[in-house]
Amino acid sequence: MARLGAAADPKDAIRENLYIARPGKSVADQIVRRLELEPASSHLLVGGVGSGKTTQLLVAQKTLQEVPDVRALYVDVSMRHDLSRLTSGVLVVIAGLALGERLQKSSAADVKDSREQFRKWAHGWVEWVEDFGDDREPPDMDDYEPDFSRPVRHRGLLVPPHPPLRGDIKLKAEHLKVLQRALLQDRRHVVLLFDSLDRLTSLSPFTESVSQDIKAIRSAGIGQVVVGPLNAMFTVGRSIADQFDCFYHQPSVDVQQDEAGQTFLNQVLRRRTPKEVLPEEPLHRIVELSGGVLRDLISLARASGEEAYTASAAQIATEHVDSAADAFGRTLMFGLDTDEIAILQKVKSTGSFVPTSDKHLALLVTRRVLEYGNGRARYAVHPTIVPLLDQLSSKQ
Amino acid sequence: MTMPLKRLSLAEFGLRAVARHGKGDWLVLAAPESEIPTVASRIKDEVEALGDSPVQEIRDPANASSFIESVRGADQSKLLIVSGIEFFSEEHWRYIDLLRSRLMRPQAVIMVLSLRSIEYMVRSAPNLSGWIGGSIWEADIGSEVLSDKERHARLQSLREWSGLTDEEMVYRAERGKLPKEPEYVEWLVLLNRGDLVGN
Repeated sequence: MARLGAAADPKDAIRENLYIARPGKSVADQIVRRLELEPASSHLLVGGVGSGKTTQLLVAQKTLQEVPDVRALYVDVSMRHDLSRLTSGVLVVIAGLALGERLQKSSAADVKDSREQFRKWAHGWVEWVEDFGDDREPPDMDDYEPDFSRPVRHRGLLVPPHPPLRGDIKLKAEHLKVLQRALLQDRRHVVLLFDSLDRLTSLSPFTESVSQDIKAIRSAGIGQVVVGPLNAMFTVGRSIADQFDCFYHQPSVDVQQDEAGQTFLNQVLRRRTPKEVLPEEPLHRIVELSGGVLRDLISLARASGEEAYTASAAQIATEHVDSAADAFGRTLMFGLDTDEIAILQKVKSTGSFVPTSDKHLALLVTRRVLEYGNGRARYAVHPTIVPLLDQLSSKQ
Repeated sequence: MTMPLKRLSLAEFGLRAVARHGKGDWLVLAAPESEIPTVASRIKDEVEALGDSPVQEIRDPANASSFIESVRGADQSKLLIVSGIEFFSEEHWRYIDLLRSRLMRPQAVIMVLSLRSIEYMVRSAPNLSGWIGGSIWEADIGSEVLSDKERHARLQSLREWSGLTDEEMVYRAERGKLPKEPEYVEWLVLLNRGDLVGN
């Protein structure tokens, strides 16, 4: 059961050889292939909570590291910066710091200067400037005439759909180029993989970063993969997604209609739990009840093991899985209002779901509604809440 | 409209917490707001009695940022019990969710929260809730003492599980030869032989 940690670092799972590739072309494979063809391209990856985005990012990094002329750097943005204060310039500065850390031994003056610049931009600095306060004496010149005019700026009405890089961002991009060129002495391409931006609930800071930072990093000839918020897939978010060269959606694995997907999930669990502890029948039940969400699969397996443990059973049985799934469903249902319950009932009975409002999107983000993407999008409520929704309808 | 959460006695919750071997698991126990400090202390006692994992408490962090720093700064080898965060608004939980990566740790974290706080958390911190999964229960404070029938049933299931009689188990405990599984500790406690725990 030690291998069933829902909050474990995905790096550990890869290191411990617990990773199993999804059937067909995984997102990681697709990203790597594109970056091999276009090393400075930009990629956006979105998906629900627990769908395995970070794992895909890490697998892409591992594969890219094996390509002789690529250096791939994974950056968890939230570990370096308070995401509630994300603004344009932050990602470029983080990129500069990440590249600079790999160039600590460089003695080249331009590299040292650029590293120092990024350090200052990241952590701030103190500068002494001349004071032009009101009490300053006027210049002692015979022909001096004070100039009382002041500039008034009249802004133009037109706002370009893709604003040009701001001056300060351009300057940062220039310094990024210096570091990138220095890194290229041993490899030909640099790729940055930015994680954690999917947690942004508001699109505006993400939009700002995309329109400035992603463009600036690209102008420095650096490839990049960004894990972004799920709402970049829908409504206004689409225009942001369009600013990337490639867009990927990591859906849940369709446990109802995709046989290869079921086999994949069976393998994921089997690699972590032996048959003596988790026989085939309860294993299939866990796969079915997970709804194809990888983290929920692991969580349910662990909770089932816990049910068996507290019942002093030597192995997990289907009744333990059902008990764990009931507790799981109750937490997913917790705090829902009547409108949300009505949406879920509709999805359950008709499969119809149009993610337009914030309320709809929140149901997707919190995995109460799952999206499957085998060709045409299919929506379903999380299997653990289906019996609870039935109970509610029978009470009404 | 909300479905009630599953109820667990503090003893069973403690047993589950100790049984967690997954890295950095998160568990939540709901309790009435006025009972939270007591419940947190009792959970600490339960966990310490059942296992050999050391426990650290985090109480009343000043804000969300201080909560994150307390979790990050806590002894990595200890299981954490967090309480006193009832004043966290949805905004606080959103902030914590943004910085979830900073909360990754090798040992489990238990949060004792009111139902209202759980609602805020589930709504505003979907990424943290993804880690928690179904590990949210409501404390069944009134069911602390097992009835005689329940006690006998539990003892019987422990005997079947281990293949030992009560006497054989006590004999081993007296000689310090009892395996470390928490079931044996529970068994000793049910036989009123808590004095042998840790022998």
